[in-house]
Amino acid sequence: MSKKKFEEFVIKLSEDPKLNQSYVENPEAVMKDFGLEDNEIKAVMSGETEEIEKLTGTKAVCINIVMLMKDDK
Amino acid sequence: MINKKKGSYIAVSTGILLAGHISVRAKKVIEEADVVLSLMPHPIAENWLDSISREHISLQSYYSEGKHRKQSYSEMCERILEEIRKGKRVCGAFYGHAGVFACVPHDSIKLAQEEGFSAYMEPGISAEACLYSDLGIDPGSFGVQSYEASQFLFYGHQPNVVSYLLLWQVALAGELTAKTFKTSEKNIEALVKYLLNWYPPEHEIILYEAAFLPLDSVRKEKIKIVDLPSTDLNLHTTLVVPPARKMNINKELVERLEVG
Repeated sequence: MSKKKFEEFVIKLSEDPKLNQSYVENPEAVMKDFGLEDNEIKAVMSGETEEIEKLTGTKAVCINIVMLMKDDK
Repeated sequence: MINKKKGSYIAVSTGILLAGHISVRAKKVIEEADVVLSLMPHPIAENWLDSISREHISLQSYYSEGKHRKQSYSEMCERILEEIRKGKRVCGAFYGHAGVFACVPHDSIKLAQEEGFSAYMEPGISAEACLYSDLGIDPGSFGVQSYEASQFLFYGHQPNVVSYLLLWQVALAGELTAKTFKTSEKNIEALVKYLLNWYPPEHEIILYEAAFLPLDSVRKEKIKIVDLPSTDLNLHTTLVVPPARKMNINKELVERLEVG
């Protein structure tokens, strides 16, 4: 698997409030039920950004909201 | 009679939370477009777009440290226009609300329309919309003023202290070059000094970050204004300054209205 499976899980969590609620209440069980691997579950449960980003990738530069000195700089 | 050129363009908003905030209409636009060009905040969001579109091109590569952001934006718009000129049904996918604090969606629509193409924007869930849900703030209660943090400083906007003040992109406050993705402690101190013209140093403010991924936690960190320079700020951190005093009724005006 498994990067694809993990991404599928994260996308599903964002689309399904009921699954998301179950995840908030019992993350380990929900991840196991979804078929994630032990190392993935361990990484998420650790809460360590670095470990989680190994699975998800890192945030992109997300500043398309910039309008800084739009007129003249 | 409408006489538009063959290519067309729709800038859609994908919302903040990965695949969960997008509207039915916006998703359909993505699915049916010949090509989707995106600015998304996370690689997973880009992979999600790959999975629901026919062809997906990320515009992230136009950003880089040391490059003026105006140039990046101009190149992104030109890339979008290139596809429209080929006669394709083009979708621009932008996270949050495509029209809020974002120049590429607005500029690309304007340029496409000027060249005679059909172009419009689909609205969506913005970071500000998430903020009201996550922090339990109703903008109707006291009013809200919303500024890009650098613009707030550079143009000397004056806050109304009976309302909420939202400062977006506080991590870039006072950053003049538009070539880097961070500011200095000195610039944040300048922002604090400016705010202290209206607010007491101990005034409690909130650092807010919406969740992009369902694995992220929402940041709702309460600190004092004076502690801002020593606090970690990210590119997506928003500064929320709650009202410093109660609203006063304009008795004279209300009496006049009652008489009338």
